[in-house]
Amino acid sequence: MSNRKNKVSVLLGSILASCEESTFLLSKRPHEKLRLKETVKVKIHLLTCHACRSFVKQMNFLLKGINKLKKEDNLFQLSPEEKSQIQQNLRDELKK
Amino acid sequence: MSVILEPENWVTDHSDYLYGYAVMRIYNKEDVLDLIQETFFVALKAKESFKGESTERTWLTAILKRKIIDYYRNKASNSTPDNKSGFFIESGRKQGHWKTDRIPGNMSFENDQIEKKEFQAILNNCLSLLPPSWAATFTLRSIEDLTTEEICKELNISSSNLWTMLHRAKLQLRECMQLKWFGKRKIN
Repeated sequence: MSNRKNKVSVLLGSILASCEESTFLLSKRPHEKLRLKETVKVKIHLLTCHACRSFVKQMNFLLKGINKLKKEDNLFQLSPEEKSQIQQNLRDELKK
Repeated sequence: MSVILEPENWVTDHSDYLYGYAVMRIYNKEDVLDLIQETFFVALKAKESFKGESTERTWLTAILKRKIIDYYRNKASNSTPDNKSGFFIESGRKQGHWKTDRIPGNMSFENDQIEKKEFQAILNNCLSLLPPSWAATFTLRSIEDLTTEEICKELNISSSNLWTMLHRAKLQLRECMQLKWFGKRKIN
């Protein structure tokens, strides 16, 4: 009986993931192909877990935002003072 | 047709661009300024090795990129993650579940219009609060787009440590963005 119970929990363990494990796999997913078993685990978990769905949605939004920022050329500029300081240091270096 | 380097004009022509590039990747203003300056110095020393195969800007950016990787290597070499992330229940029947005070909020960021500049400011602030090794993994992977192998080699860490630190980085970054975002909305 307990043997059978063990088998059931091993089987469940192989398809059910905790929030911790799921968010770990979800953090990895944009960068590396997950194994089939991991993909299944994450999918099942997300079906039932609202908090992890929020995690994924918000994380994807952040990554999308970052990609938009990367395409911007002129969002931030050096102040004139900072520029002239860098320029001055570079001139000094050029003279050496 | 080969490109000729004009160090006299570097600051005028490229410093804002390089600054924008560095600001996205380094979250301390002083460090950003130092890196820009060093980039120009290194470029000056390496002038002879410039073959004119790329534009001046591409060449300078490549030098800055190398500087950024070195910056993180100095800060995060050989680092290992702590045992616990602090986000999940550590024992008992609910082990691995979110701790109640750290569950991701219901809000969807998407419905909020936000200026790019403001977004960058909040993001940078949150990234500056991460432990350096977590910031290193997030920045090099999600912003600088280095491969897993490259990051492990540069930082001298195992891939499993990389994924654990990246996990922690994302947990904390998401939480911070939520707090700052909400915090701001309350003030308005």
